[in-house]
Amino acid sequence: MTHMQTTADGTTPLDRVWNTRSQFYAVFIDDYRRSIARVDPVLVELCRLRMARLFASRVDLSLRLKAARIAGLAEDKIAALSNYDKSPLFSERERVCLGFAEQFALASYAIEDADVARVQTVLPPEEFIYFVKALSVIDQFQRAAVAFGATPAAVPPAGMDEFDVVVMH
Amino acid sequence: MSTTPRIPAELARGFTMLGDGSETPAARIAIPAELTRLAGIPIASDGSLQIDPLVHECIRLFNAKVQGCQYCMNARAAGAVQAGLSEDMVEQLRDFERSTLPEKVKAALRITSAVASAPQLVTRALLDSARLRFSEQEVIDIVMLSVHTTGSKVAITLGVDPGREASSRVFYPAEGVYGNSPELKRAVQAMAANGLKVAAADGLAYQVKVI
Repeated sequence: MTHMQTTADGTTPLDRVWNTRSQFYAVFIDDYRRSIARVDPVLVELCRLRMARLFASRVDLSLRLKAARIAGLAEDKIAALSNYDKSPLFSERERVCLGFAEQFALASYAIEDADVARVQTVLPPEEFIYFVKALSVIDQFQRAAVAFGATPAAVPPAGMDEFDVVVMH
Repeated sequence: MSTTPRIPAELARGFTMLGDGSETPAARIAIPAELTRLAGIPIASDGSLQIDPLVHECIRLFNAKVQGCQYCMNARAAGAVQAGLSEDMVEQLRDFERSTLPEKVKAALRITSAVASAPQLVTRALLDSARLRFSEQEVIDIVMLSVHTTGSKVAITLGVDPGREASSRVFYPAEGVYGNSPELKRAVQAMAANGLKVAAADGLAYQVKVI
């Protein structure tokens, strides 16, 4: 289900909106996949899910990055994301990056030099560049999914083969 | 917001607002040129979002102001200028609800504002209100463009926004910065055939009020 009245064909509700501009979606999702693949999978997945909670992106909350699971990211840590700044499950690197991801999602215009410098104490500059790009495409995907009012499906949206779907309770 | 690089110069080198497909870190993170074309920038073309040029530009500039992108804020699309964009309109974008902007522009910016601030605010009621002025596909395209034009966050966060010095003028669709896709070339030819100015040599008399 989505908020939109005119939809194209597609396996998931979100697909049926994006496929009205299928070329745009194809190029965007290719950029999305390349961008998140350049970042540590556990780190990018934690940030993606934290942002998804902030935006209330039900589609994103229903997805799990396979590479993060393979790297050891477990559901108990995901469940603790709302308390990442205090939970012992998170490293300092993860806390700093999660804080930055929140700032990027909610008020990127207010990011100061000190905020960037703080992240670069835990991520070398080149990794930081790719981290910011990953946050951007995640941010865009989630804003679109929420704006379209898309609900989760039994399979990931088209082109998101790196993800599994989890059953949400 | 920053136009002073927050990353080492050797990594910032070669950054452009549109990707050229090369493999430097800066090139990898740039927005793909084809994605920008498909967003209807600089003009609508085959397969792209299809939004009225004036509405399109207002959405782009609104988000440019929200994100604080100096380069984007100070660029003006030739198609939008010829569709009636004025600097008075541009000044009113941030406070659009109390402005004299056309109702169609306001309806679009309500969506853009919601997408940029909190996408949960894009409700069925908001979309139904937009549907009084736009087709369903146009409403979808407005959401997509509103999302796409948040992409300047990367450049701003990294401090590689080219700055107002690099824009502060009208940008013409025939300029090389937009690439050479056959779809864009056809759209530019069609625009010229309709008597509109597509290149700097055509000379639009328009003064950008630099922010």
